[in-house]
Amino acid sequence: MNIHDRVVQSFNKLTPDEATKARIHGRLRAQASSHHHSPLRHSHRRLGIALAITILFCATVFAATQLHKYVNWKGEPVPEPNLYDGLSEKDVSVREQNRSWALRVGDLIPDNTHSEYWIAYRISPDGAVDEKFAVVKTINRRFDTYAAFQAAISAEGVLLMPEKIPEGFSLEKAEVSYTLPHILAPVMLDEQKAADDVLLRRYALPPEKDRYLTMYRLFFVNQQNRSLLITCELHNRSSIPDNLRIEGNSNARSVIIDGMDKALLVGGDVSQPSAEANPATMSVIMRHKSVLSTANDQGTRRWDYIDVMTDIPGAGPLLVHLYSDYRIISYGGLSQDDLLNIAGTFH
Amino acid sequence: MTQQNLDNQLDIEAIYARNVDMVYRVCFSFLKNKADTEDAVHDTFMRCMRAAPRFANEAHEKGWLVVTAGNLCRNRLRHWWRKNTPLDETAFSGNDGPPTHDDTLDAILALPDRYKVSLYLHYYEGWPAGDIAALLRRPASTVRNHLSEARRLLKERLTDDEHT
Repeated sequence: MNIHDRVVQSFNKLTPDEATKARIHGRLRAQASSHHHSPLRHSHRRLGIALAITILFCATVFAATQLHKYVNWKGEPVPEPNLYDGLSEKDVSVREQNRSWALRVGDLIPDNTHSEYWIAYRISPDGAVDEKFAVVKTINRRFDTYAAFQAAISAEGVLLMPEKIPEGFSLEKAEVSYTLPHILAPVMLDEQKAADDVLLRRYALPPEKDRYLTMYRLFFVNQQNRSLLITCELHNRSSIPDNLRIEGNSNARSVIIDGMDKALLVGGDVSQPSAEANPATMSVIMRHKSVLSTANDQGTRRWDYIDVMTDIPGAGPLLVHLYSDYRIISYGGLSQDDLLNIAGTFH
Repeated sequence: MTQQNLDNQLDIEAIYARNVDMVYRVCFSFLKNKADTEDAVHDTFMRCMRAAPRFANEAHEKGWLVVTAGNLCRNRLRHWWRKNTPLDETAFSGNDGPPTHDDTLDAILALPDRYKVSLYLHYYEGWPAGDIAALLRRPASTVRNHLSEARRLLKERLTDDEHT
């Protein structure tokens, strides 16, 4: 068979089934009706989601910008954090080289599949493979229902989640991410050099991958097309930020949320009467500090793989802390009280 | 709902029915997983609905949708949930791959993204390189080079597979 026929045959295999077409069609119809009533509403919602993505994923980018500022858990302004405070010139240089290597390698790693995943290792100038310096791609999974998402989080056992879909909203998307450590990789399938200083190894995906959940994102929308985004991130021991990045024109104040170690309410005007719906973006940032017994709570998980546990001073090696952060971001659909009520249902 | 809205809705229904297979195939060739592909297909038709372009004919309509789908997929790949940490670097990728194993399909999915729209239009839809060039607003020689390079890479990959 010639190339032309093979390409046509392969593209034919990508034809969506009727159920898929009906599902996309249903989403379009639902949004088309609100689009016709108010063409701007949809774009506002998309903008809202885009802003949320910016807030969440720019958290580790320490570039100065007038659009953002940093506050502590009391809501007080603090200086922009400097990754290299207290480091010698040589250490700064090493970190920069490591960071630059990791960024470059991210583009060299193939996508993970259902059955396998890739890890990139650094090859030292002397030709040795530095197995402690690795870059992995996370594995993502989406859930169609909130019940399925809840089951995944419950099975993981440490991260918290809202007890139910917030009232008046429906689930638009639930995504979780798993980060598999190189020390977990039980079966290496093969390896190849991707560059002079990069070795790629391909591993069979272990069946216990679902236990290594490190992040989730929930997107909700209400009938007025107002969005609500909830995110969770498990912290690495070496990067538990106490400088929180928020939008430049926001105010922030400390609040108490049952079950949380720290919490901050962030909004355009948090002095509004609490019962009044605030049309602007408003969010709650929360930190949960678990105390785990390494002897009893670790179970079959290898938490040490991403260095997530932090020793508790004086508690000995059996008790550790584990930190996870949560953000609930409302784009105008909730009053301050409603937002705080949702925060109080995390368990 | 006004008559105009009804007409628009009828148009988009017809446009969807005519083109959903094509848009889905193109998006999958970029994104390589079903969940993202569904989102991208949805976004492509939503954009069509919002922009409400006046299509001269069905070829124009098809071309507009293919280019829009390709652009949305590239944006999605560029910006999608990337987060960097110093060690154990993380990035994101979907994990629900193509429905069945196919060496040719694997080779197509592995092609550089810049070749995919041209490849699809030329081989699957039968467009000549000149028409693709006009649609993509690129010189015809560039499109021909892209097709030639894509063909070379596919042959190379498929030959390798046959030898292993």
